[in-house]
Formats: sequence, C-alpha cells, structure tokens
Amino acid sequence: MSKFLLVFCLFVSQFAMANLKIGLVLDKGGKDDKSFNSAAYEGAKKAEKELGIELKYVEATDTNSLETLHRNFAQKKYDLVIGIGFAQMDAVKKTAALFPETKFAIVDGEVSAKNVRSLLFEEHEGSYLVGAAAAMKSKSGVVGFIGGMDIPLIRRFQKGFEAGIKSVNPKATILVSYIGVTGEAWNNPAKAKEIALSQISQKADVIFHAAGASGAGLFDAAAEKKVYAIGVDSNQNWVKPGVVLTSMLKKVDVAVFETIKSVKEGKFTAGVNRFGLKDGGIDWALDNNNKSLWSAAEIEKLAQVKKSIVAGKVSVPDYYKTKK
Amino acid sequence: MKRIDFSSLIGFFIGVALSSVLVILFKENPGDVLKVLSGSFLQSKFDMGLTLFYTTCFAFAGLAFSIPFKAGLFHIGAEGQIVLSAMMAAVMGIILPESLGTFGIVLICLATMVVGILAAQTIAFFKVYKQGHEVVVAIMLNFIFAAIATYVILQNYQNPESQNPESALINPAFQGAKADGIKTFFEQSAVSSFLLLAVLSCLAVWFFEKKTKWGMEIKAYGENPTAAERMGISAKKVNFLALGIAGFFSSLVGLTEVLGSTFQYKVGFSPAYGFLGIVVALLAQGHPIGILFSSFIMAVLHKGASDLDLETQFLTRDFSKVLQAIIIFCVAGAVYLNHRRVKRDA
Repeated sequence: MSKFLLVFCLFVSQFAMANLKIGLVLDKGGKDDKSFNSAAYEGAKKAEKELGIELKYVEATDTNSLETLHRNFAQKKYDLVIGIGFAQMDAVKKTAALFPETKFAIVDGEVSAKNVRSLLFEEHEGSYLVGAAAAMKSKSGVVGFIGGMDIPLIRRFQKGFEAGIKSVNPKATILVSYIGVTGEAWNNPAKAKEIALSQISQKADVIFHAAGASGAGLFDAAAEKKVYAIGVDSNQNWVKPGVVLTSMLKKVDVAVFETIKSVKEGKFTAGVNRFGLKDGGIDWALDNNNKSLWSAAEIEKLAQVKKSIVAGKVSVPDYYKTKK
Repeated sequence: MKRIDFSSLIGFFIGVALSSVLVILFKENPGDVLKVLSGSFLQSKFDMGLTLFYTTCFAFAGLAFSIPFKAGLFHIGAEGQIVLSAMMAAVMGIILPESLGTFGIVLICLATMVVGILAAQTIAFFKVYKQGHEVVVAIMLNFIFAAIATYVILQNYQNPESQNPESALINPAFQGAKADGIKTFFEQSAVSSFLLLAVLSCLAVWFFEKKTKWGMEIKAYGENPTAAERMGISAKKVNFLALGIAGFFSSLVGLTEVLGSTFQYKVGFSPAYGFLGIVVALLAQGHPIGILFSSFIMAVLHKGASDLDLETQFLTRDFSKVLQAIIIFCVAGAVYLNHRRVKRDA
C-alpha cells in the first residue's frame, strides 16, 4: 500500500512539475522574423522540449493589446510571463503590480519590481566587435549601418559599431540610415533593401543591420550586388551563406531559457540580469556557413579585440550613458 | 408601418456558421471558439471595461459613417480624422497650463472637435468645389493626416521616458477620467464616461434624423439629389453639414482615447476604428439606436478575437481576423441582397 502511495505521490509531483505554465508575448515582428523574436521563441521552445513545461506564445497585434495579453496570462495563473521587447515595458510594469503572485520577465527593458526579472544586453560591446570585423573586411573603406526604428536602443548598436570600425580603420566612412520612427520599421524589408542599395551605390561593401525582420531586405540587396552583410540578434549566417559575413549574437534564447529554468528549479530571482561579451550572452557568430570567409589570422585578431573588451582595456561608448 | 428588417441578423448567423466550418477544418472545436469569441469579455470587470471602451469608439465611428451615408456619401475618412484629432487632444493636453483645471479640459475638447470637423470639411471642400470623389479624397487624406500626426508627436512631444513612439502624458490636471465612476467600477480599465456620451449621441442623432429640418434635408438629398435640389435643398450645404457632423464624431473617438483611456498619443493606437465603424453602421443599417447594439456586438467580437490566439492551439491572430472578415462579409452581403429584393418588389 505504502509503495503504491509513493508511486502515486511521485506521479502527482511529476504531473505538477510538468504543469509549469509559461506565457511568451512576442513583439510585432512575430516569431518568424529570423532575428530578435525568433531567438526568444527558440529559447522558449528549447525549454518546452527539455524542461517539459507548458508553453503558450502570442504575438502582439498592436501596442494597446500588450497589456491585455499580459493580464490574460496572469489571470490564467501562468507561472511566468515573458515580454519580448522594450515596447512591453509599460505593460509588464502595470500587470506585475496587479499580480504580485505571477513572475514576469522582460527583455530589453528595466522594470524594478519584486516579481520582475529584467534581461538586458550589452549591445554596444557586440556591435563594436562586428564593427572591427566589418572594417577588416571592407576594401573600399566605406561601411554601412541600417537601423530599424530610430530609438536609443538602436543608437546604442550604431555608436558601438562606429567605434569598432574606427578602431581598425580610423579613416573609414560610415553611412548610417534608419528605416523609420514607428513600430512598422521592424517589418519593412522593402525599405531596408532600398537603403542598402543606396549605401552600396555610395561604395559601401559591408553593411550591418539592427532592424529585426526588415533585415531580409539587406540580405537580398547584398546578394544581388555581391557585398557583405552582417546579421543581428539570431545567428543569421545561414540565411545567405557567403554573403552574411557574420552575425552579432544577442542570445535572447539563452536568457529566456535560463529564466524559465530558474523558475522550474525554484531559483527565480527578480532584478536586473545583464548579458555581455563576458558571459557569452553577446558574441559574434562563426559557423560552417561563414567559415570560408575568414582566415585564421583574422579570427585570431577578432578574438584579441573581444578579449580586450572583456578585460576593459577598450572602452566601448555606451549610448545610454553618453547621451546624458 | 415598416416591417422590422432582420437581414443583417440572418447574415450574422450565416457568417458564424461558415466560420465554424472553417474552424473545424483547423481541428478546433467551434463551440469552444464561439465561447471564446463571445465570452471573453465576461472574464473580469477589466475585460468588460475594455469591451465597453471599444463599444464607445465603435459607436462614434459608426455614427461618423452613417450620417454622410444618409446623404449618399461613402465616408471612409474617419480614420484620418480620428488620428489627427487625437493628436490635437494630446498636444493641447501637454501645452495647456495646469492652472486651467476643468476649463482646460473644455478647451481641449473644443480644439479637438474643431480639428476633427475641419479635417472632415476638407473632404467636403474637394467634393463640392473641385469635383473630387469623396472616397478617393478621404483615402488620401487618411495617409496625410496619419503622417502629420506622427510627425508632430514624435518631433516635438515624444515621451522622454519611453522608447515607444508615443507622446508624453497630458497634464495630470486634465486626467480627470481617472477618477470617474465608470472607470473606477471597471478596475481602471480603458472605459470612461465617454460611454455615456456615446449612448446620448446615438439618441441625439436619432432625434436629429427624425425630427429636425436639417436631418430631413440630408435624408432627402441622399434619396434623390436631383429632386432635393429642385425642392431648394442646397447640395453644398448637405455635403458640408453631413461631413461636418461626421468629423465631430470622429474627433470624439480621439478624445475617448486621449482623455478617457491612455492620456497620451500612442502611434498606431487605433485598430482601424474608422473602418470598423463602417461595419458597425452597415450592421445596424444606419439606424442610430441600432448602432449602439451593433457596436457592442463588434466590440465583443474584437475583444474575443484578440483572445483566440491565447486560448486555442492552432488559431493565430491572423486567423481571428479571417473569422471577423467572414462574418462582416456575410452581414454586408445579406443586407445588400435584401436591399435589392425590396427595391424589386417596390
């Protein structure tokens, strides 16, 4: 009898464990943007497979619906609700205050509350690194940057990237363009392609984008005109092998996975978690798709740059701090 | 006595039946889907409040379509007027000094209404003096107004504390709606006293159309412009009047958003209220009291559609739009067929 009870208890506890419910609220770009949101989705999917959680994801239709989505998850007693993107900061702040029992996490935004973990990335470090990589590969000395929405977060990419280029080639010309000022800018590949073509006509031969789903336009233009592109957030080397020089990895997937894991293990803590080059939360991508583009010497040189950033020997300008 | 016309209701149920078939094809239980669609607003007071907020906006937008429609104008410019007037409300709310208090709120309302009316009069101007078609003019103006509003807000009044494209909050003195009874009752949801205004507006429009000279003139002109002009009704006047009233109601949507709900201008705040208003008005067949009910039905659907993604396994946000479209299509089709049948019989 006792044996039976034991088995029963095990079964019940197993069941209860499997029932950990995670809600994921993606940004407007949607889970197929091959970039920022895709990374978050991958991380949550991995957690679903490996940790046996129950995952439900939704995509925001408009900015007004964000708060409702968070509320709905909280009302349905989800254990953890993850908001992807700075646009959800307000929604998380309000909902977290109303549902102190529910745990929240937010990527790219800082919310200080007892039940919210803020996942922040040091984008400028990674941008500096791929900036150095771009300058090494540029023959014309002209490098392009395409930002999505013109906001401080993306300016942070831009400033880091510029500093990285200057560190290798102080004479380089840097062309900077932004796609727009509204949320549509994350989802406008046509405009991104136009900008890329115009930068290429001004002799740019390496172009970095920080524009979410719009980046697809850059890859098209780069493949057409035979120049290099640099991807962002997810590893985008596979999108156009041989054209995509590398990708600046912002490992939202790791951050999401680790957060879910911490809840599963009962070790969830609120507060700010920062991810940078040091802990591998930010990195540059080298895999079979772009290996042939890099010589051993170049790889060694980039590793040096990375080391000196981590060691603090190089100070990378941080737009969040310099603008004030 | 006219018989009550049930064609829009019949169309509504045909639409629901058709979308149920589609849902079955996607391996979901249509019963569950219907329950989510129709029942999601009942979950909590907050959800109810949100639904009533949509009702308010839809009712105003419905009136903004139905009145010009009576004058034979197909008015699809409400969206642009809504966006422009919401911008005006936010800008006024930011620049007016706090010391004005309640008077400041009145000023905001007046300025916003003037902007809404003028925006609509632009359509009437092109229609009357330049022989432009109101649909083409309105579509173009929708884009122009949206661009102006986004430009003004982001260049001059961007919220410094947020990376979202939105204006700063309006002066706390003008956020009176925060304390109003309706909002408090619905747990600080989006709804506000503007709901009462929407109900009153529908009644007022009903009175206007039935009992006043101007209302009759609009109707007479819409039924037969040539005959109306022979009778001494000025085409210019009807165009300006009907579109002016439409602009007024469009501006109320903007006020509902800025003074009643978010207290700021958020770029892309409108889930196309102006266009959903057309559906609302057609569903009610232009009857002002009917608009009150049809806007509620649309609000429930709109709220439910956003929950479908969350509640079901295979249905996404895009699919819920398809369901809405099928229902709208069936309603419009049924109304049109019935209209033709009545004409043939007459």
